[in-house]
Amino acid sequence: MSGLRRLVLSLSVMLVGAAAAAQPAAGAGDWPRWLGPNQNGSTAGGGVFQRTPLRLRKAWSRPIGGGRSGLVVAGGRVFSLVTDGEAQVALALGAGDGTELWRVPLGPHAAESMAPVGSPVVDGEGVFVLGTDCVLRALTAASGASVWQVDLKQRFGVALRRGCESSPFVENGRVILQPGGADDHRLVALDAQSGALAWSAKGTERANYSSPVVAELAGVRQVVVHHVTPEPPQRSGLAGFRLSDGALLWSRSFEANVSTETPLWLPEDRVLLLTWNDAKLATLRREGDRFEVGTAWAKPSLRSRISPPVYKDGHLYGFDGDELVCLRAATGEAVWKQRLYAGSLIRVDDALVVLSANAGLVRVVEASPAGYREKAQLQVLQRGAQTETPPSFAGRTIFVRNDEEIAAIVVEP
Amino acid sequence: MRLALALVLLLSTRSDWPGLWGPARDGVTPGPLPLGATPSARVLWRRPIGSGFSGIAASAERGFTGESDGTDDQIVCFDLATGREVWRARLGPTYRGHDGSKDGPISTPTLDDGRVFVVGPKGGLFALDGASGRVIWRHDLKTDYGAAEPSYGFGTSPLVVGPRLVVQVGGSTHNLAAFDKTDGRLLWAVNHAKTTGYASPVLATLAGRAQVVVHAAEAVYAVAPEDGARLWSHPLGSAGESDRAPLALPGDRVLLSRWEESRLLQIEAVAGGFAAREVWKSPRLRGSYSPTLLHAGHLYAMGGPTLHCVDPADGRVVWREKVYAGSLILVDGQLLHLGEQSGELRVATASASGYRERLRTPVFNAGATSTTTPSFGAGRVLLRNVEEIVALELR
Repeated sequence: MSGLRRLVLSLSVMLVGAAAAAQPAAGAGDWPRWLGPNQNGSTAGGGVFQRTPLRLRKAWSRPIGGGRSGLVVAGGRVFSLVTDGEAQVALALGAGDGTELWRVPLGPHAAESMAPVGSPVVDGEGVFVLGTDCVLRALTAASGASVWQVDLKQRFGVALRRGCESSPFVENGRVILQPGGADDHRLVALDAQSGALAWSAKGTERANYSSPVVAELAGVRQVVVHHVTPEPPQRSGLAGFRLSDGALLWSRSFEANVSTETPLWLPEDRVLLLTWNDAKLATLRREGDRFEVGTAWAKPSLRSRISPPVYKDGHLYGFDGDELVCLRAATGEAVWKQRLYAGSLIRVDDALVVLSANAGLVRVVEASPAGYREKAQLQVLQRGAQTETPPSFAGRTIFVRNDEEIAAIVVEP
Repeated sequence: MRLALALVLLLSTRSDWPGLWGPARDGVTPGPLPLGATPSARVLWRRPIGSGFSGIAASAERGFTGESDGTDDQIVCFDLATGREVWRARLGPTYRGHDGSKDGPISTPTLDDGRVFVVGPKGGLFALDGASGRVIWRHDLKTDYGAAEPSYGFGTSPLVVGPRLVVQVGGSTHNLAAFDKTDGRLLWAVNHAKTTGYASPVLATLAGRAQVVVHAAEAVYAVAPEDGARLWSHPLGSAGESDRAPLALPGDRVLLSRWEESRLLQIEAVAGGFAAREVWKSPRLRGSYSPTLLHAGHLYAMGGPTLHCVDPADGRVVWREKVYAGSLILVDGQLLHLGEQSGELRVATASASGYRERLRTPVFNAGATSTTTPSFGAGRVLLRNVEEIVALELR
C-alpha cells in the first residue's frame, strides 16, 4: 500500500478542504460531528503531537452526567447529550474552561435505555441534537434557543426499543439522519433551516442504531448506511443512497453477525463494516448506473464496541477486544498488536489518541506500521469508570468524557 | 482433645469456599478477617490464568477454577499456599467469546466430599476427583438431556443437596434435574420453566421447608429437593436470560436480582402449599452480576456502578456510594469489592450508617476485565480476572 501513499495523502487533503468548505462557521480544527470533520475519526492537528518528549496536561475537568453521546466541538463550544438517569439534556460548555453556557432539556428516555448515545452536529450557527426521545431539535449554537423540532416518532413512525441512538450529520444545508422508521423512512434529509423534508429513502433493510456517513464511492457522492436485516438470524450490511435525492444506489447484506458501528469509508472505493465478531472490507465498482459490491476480506478482528478504527497510509489502527491492532488495509492481516485493554481512538496527523474504556488513561501513540510506540500517557478519568465515548480533538485540545465527567487535555508547552 | 479437633475441623470447614458465592451461596463468610487499625494487603502469590469468568472454589488447601488455555477449556486445580498447579482437566474445546464476551468457562466449580462438579460452557456436566482431576462421571446436557445452549454458553453452577446434585439444565425435557452425585444417575427431572440462563439454584429453608429456589427466565420458583415437586412459583414477566442466583433471606424472604431490577418476595405457607408475594421492586438494584449481601439486617447491593445499602423491609436506599462496577463478598463484616474494570480491591466495613472504606489497593491491570466474584479460602482473599489469579492476605 505504501506506493499509494501520495494518492492517499492528496485525497485526504481534498477531503479536509471539502468538509471545511461545506461548514463555514465550524472552522478548520473543529470537531463538528460524530467521528470528526471527516466522519472517520481522523483529522489534521498542525503537528501538535510531534514534540519530543511529549507531555500531556489536564487543562480542566468537570462532572457532566451520564451517557455516551460524543463530544462535538465548534466555535469554541463543546456540545454533548447527558442524563441524570431520568432526564436527558443537551449541554454546551466553553471549550476553554468547561464553563456551562446553556442546557436544554430533552424528552424522557425510552424505557429500555437510560443514556443518550447520539452526538450533536454543528452546522453554521445551528446545532442539531437527537436524544433517545427521538425528537430532532435544531437549536442555536450560541444560546440553545429552539429553531425548529421534528418528532421522528410521529413524523416517520419510529418505534425503536432503545429510542434513537443514531448521530445525524449536515451536508449541503440538509440534516441527514437514520430515523429507523417504517419502510418509507429508513434515511431522511431535512432542510437545516426549516426542518422541511427534502427527501426520504426507502431502505431495503433496517438501519436502527448506527450512524450514516457521507462518502464518495465510485465517483458518486452518497450516504453510506450500516443496516441490519430484520429477520433472525440477523445480518449486517451496507447500502449507499445518493446524497442529492436519496435514491438507493446499492445494498448488500453479508453473512452472519451484527453491530451498531458506524461504517468507515476508505480510499479506493472501499468501506469497512464492523460487527461484534468480525470486520469486512467491502469494495465498490460502478459500471454505468450499476454498482457492484465485493468483499476484499473478512476477518475476526477489530471487534470494538465503541468506535471504528482509523485509517492512515494503507493501514488500519483500532481495537480488537483488549488489543490495539495495526492491520494492512488491503488484506486485513495484522502488522502488530499491543495489549492495552478495551478502548477507543482517533487519529490526529500521524498520532493516535487512545482512550481506555475503563482505566481512565489517555495515550498518544505513533500511527505507524513499524510497531507500537507510545509517546505520552496521562491518567485523566477515574480508574474503573465506564468510558464508551471516543475522544474528540479540536484546536490543540483533546476532549474526553465518560459516564460522569468531561476533561480537556493539552500538550505541555 | 476431641473437642479441639472438632473445633479445628469446624473452623477449617468454615474457612472453605466450596463453590459459587461461598458456603451458603450468599457471598458471606464469617472469615475470620482480623483487620488492624490501618489495614493493609499483601500479595502472597500471583499466577497467570487463562480467560474465563469462572469463580474460584477453595478447599482447605486447594483452589479450583475454569479457564481457557487458548485451545481448550480446562478446570485447573492449584495449591492455595503457593499458586502452583496441581492438575488440570479438559472440559472440551474452548468456548470462543463473541458479541463482546470472553473466551472460556463461566460456571464456578462446586466442591463436595472430595469431588469437583462443574458445567462446561458447551454443556458438559463433569464430576471430577478433587485429588487427581480424573473424571468420575460425565453427561452432555445438550445431547443427553435436551438442554438449549444459552447465548454465551452454559454458566450454571451445580448445587449439592445431600446425595443429589441439582442442575439448572434448561430446555424443555429436563429443565431442572437432580443426579446422584456418586454415580451421575438421573434421579428426577422437572419442567417448571422452559428456558434457562446462567443462574444457579440455591438451597434455603423457607416457611419451615427445605427447598431449592430457582431463578429461571420467566419465573422464580422452588422445588422439593427430594423429587423436584413445585412448591411455589412467581412469574417474572420477561423471557430474558436469568443470570444471578436468588438470595434467601431470614424471615422467609427471597431477593431476586435481574439485570433490569431486583424484587423481594415473601414466601408464605398457605393451605395446600406455599405462595410467593412480591413485597417490593427496585430498579436501582440493576445491571450487575454481584451477589447481594445481607449483614446485620441490611442489604448491600450493586446497582450498576453504585454500591447501595438497602433496608430489606421496603427496598429503601439507606445510603449509596459510587464505587464503579464490580462484585462483592462479605468477609467477617467487611465488604470486599473487586472492580470489574478498575482491577482494584476495596475493603469497606458493612454498616448502615454509611460507606466506610478501610482499604483500596490495585490488584490487577486497570482495564482488564475482572467480572469474577472474589472468593475467600484458607484465610486469604482469592481473586481472578481473565489473565491472573492473586492470593491476598488482608490484615
